[in-house]
Amino acid sequence: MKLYEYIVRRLVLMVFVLFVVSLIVFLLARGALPPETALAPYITPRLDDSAKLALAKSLAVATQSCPAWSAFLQHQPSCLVPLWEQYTVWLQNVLVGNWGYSLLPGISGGTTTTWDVFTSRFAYTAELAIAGALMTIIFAFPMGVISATHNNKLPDHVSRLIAIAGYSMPIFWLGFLLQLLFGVYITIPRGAFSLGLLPTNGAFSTTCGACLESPGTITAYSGMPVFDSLLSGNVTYFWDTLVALILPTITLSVSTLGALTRIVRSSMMEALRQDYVLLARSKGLKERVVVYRHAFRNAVLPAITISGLIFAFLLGGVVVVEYIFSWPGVGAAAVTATTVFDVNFLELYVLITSLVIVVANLGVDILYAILDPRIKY
Amino acid sequence: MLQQAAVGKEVALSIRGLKVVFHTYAGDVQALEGVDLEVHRGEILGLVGESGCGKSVTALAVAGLLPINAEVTAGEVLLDGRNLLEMNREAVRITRLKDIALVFQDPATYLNPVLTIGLQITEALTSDLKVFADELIAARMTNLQTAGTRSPEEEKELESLRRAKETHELNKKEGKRLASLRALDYLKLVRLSEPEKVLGMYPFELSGGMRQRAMIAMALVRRPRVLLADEITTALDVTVQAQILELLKDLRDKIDSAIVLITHDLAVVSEVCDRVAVMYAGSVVEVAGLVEFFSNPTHPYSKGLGASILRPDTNTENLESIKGSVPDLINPPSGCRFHPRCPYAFQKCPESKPPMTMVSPGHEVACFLYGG
Amino acid sequence: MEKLGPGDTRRKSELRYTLHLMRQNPIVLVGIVLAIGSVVLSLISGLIINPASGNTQDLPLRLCWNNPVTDWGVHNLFVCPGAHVYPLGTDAYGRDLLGMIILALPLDLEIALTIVASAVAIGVGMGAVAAYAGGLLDEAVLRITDVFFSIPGLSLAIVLVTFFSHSLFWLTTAVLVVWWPTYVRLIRSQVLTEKEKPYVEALRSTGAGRLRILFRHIVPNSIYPVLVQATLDVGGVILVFSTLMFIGFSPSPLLPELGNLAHAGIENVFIAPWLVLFPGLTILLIALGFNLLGDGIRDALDPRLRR
Repeated sequence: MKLYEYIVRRLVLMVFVLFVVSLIVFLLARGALPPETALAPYITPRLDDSAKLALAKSLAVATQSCPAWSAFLQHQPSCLVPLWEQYTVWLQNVLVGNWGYSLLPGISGGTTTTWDVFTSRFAYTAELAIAGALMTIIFAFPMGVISATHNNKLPDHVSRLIAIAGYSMPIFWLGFLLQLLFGVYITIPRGAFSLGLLPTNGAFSTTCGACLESPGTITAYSGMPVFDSLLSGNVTYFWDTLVALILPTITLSVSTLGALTRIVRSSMMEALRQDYVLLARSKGLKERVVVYRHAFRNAVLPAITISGLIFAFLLGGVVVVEYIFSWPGVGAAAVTATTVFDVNFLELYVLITSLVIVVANLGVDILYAILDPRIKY
Repeated sequence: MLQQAAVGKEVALSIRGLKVVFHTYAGDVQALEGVDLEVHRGEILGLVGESGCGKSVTALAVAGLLPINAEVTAGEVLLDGRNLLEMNREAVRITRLKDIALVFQDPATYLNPVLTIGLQITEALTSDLKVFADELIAARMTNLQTAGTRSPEEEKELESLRRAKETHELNKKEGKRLASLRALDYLKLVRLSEPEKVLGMYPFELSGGMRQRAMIAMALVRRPRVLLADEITTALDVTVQAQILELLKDLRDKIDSAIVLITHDLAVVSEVCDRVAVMYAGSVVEVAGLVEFFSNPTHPYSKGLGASILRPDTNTENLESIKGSVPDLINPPSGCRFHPRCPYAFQKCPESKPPMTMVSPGHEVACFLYGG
Repeated sequence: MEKLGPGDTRRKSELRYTLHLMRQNPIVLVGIVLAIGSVVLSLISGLIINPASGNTQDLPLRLCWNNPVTDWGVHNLFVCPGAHVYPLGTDAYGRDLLGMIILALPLDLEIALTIVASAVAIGVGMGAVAAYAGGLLDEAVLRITDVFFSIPGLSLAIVLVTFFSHSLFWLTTAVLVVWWPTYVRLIRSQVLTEKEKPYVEALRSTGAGRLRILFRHIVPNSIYPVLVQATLDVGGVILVFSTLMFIGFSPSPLLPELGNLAHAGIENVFIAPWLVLFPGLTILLIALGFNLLGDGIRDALDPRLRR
């Protein structure tokens, strides 16, 4: 039952890591910024000073014995609550979903809760991240294997150059380049205008190239437009959203694709050097069998462990991609949050993305445990 | 140059004048300098020599598994009259599948850690099913027919096997099943306990000795004509080593293959081999029957080898060593490569490579002292 | 494989091996040229371009282009008045873009090298000590790196810079905080294998102090992967750093920094595409140079170790 123990141990580690991340994020915020910022998400403009003070006390940002709001603003020592106490209350609020109001303009209009902002936007980021991960994996493994089996010949050199160029590119540069190419230079005529071949803004292409006047409706099963339109059976919407996904996904995954290709390549080359490959060849097996059943099955293991790191990188890159392509996800919201100084949003953003990464890593670890018999038993 | 120690037994593998060069950054390594060797069916030939003399290279060259920077510059490797060196890659691969099997030194690294033993044994049979279909069918039919009483399922199986025999075809599922049964037979042959369990186990679950037996089973299951065993006991404990050697002796009587046992350990040779071939710096310098070799070693190198072993039946107090060291194969000595270290070297030795001359029937040596 | 002969054969073989590598992998030469070229260019940049030109704005000339090579195919292309040809156009403040890019090189490279050097120092220091000491310290350091690997680098850097300030100091620190854990893990796995080797036990038996053994002997033997990673990371750091600036965290809009120059191009990408393209291309070339170089070094070292 070692697999079971393994998973439990990883889960405990997961919780621990999230706990520490929340602590770090909290300490950074409360440490670098004055205590009033902690109240910003919960205060609406209509509150008067006594209401604000009451709120501060209920959130354990101000002590119960604090005399007045002005005293609090002056940071008088009688009003300040020790950080550990603030932390516990904050954590409780986070865990129940009491995340306060969002300061993000345009998106929420000032009265939406941060929770709503996240829930309405998270699916779009997820769609982009999943598309990026899929694209990375689907191309990197074959390229890496071919590179390794044709070591130092032309396919290897080409793939190597593409891969390294890929992860040397600034994401924003690639994004803009693609927008220029497909939005401005390569166009299809449409009525009196020429519109770009691929959409460059937003998750739906309804204002551009592969445009459609009335795409119909879809029911939101998951919030991810491509997925939902598929499930709703709405073909026009499906195409529309899929096409809108193309450029952002390419931009996001080129870098990780390059990195993963290199890793698969070196992992495969390592595996092909092993003694058991010589034995497999000596048994008279076809080369294809030797490469895939023997070498690849071993090479895939270290490549999988790296995938966790790759996912973290993807989630970082998503911020830039959403920014450039006006993609309605949480990454773009985070950038806006920095301009309006919505500290609360940023705290939660870091926490949520960490949660995603940790869960993804857990999934990767479980996959690894299943594939490597040495761990199961 | 026929070596007929085992008179009457046919030659399974014949290597003539094999020369192999390795192209490295330091220069060209003249690894094999004209190897002549013959192995007969049903015998165990010991191929002895120190590390670096080219024993493993010979084995790899025979199987067509030399690394990319190696080049065969001369010679032939004859199996059934066909020169393996002149065949295309696919034909050589089929030969490796059916006729030549190798067993290597360290079962820890030579077994694939993520595949079961069963799969690693049967994959050779199932990946090219056409090659083994007839054999598998025949073997299973014989099993069933000699079983005595048969259950109704076994009767049905026999029937379908008869039909398959006519068409010479076996579907994948049937093939896998028959291959597994055969694998079981060979696991029993190599004396692995609980062979059914072993089929589903992974290499890390087995001990060193068990892994080595599994590797031997992997080689034998294809019923090769030639089995090349490269230092198969070197990585094992002495007690396990003894067991494996026992197993080899047992197998020699039961199977029909020609076995080449490559080793640096003369003690191992004296345990199991029928004939001995000594290699030095890239060529065979002496071949003789086991008893003849140990009682009358003729080549100066062989004599040195014999003298450097501690034996319980002699009274030596000093361990003698052969003076000098193994030659640099990038710039090897001219003529007989042993001459710089040879206490009997004379003026003819550096001039040319001595040919193999017969000392007595079945005993040949490459040394100018004895002619040539 | 046969052994090599005496001394000169080995030296000859090393030279031949290096030449062989060059022949096998001509792309690495490109990397070497790019990396060294960018460093040299950044060193002499103050001589080519007047540093003060970074502060002079010439707004009537903003976002113009008059290099006859191309006209970009955009409508409303603003052609620069006057005779002076700007090879790469002007930026949002009327400054010669080519000049600004050259001015930006030393800043970017210096910051990147600072970050990498500091990350290596901190990471290797912590990781080596933790791995050598073992036990609770090792476990603790490992968990800390786990935490850092769970936060996407760019996000953490953004948060740090927002909470503290947009100054160059905090930008540098933010990226450093993101980067050092990689080196901890890297040196840790090397030291863990090294410390089991017999020579360590031999050294200990001579009475040598543990820190001395660690930093004088073990670390230098474990340093090759760190060197490879550091080379690669110069490119990586520049990418992250410039992306941060690009999103808008620059201390000053006039700062000649490659990402910052591109930032002004965001709103104007369909009017003045050169503003994003050329600084981005420069970043690409620098990162490409260091990545190719690091890759080449890794290949040169790795199979060697197996010989």
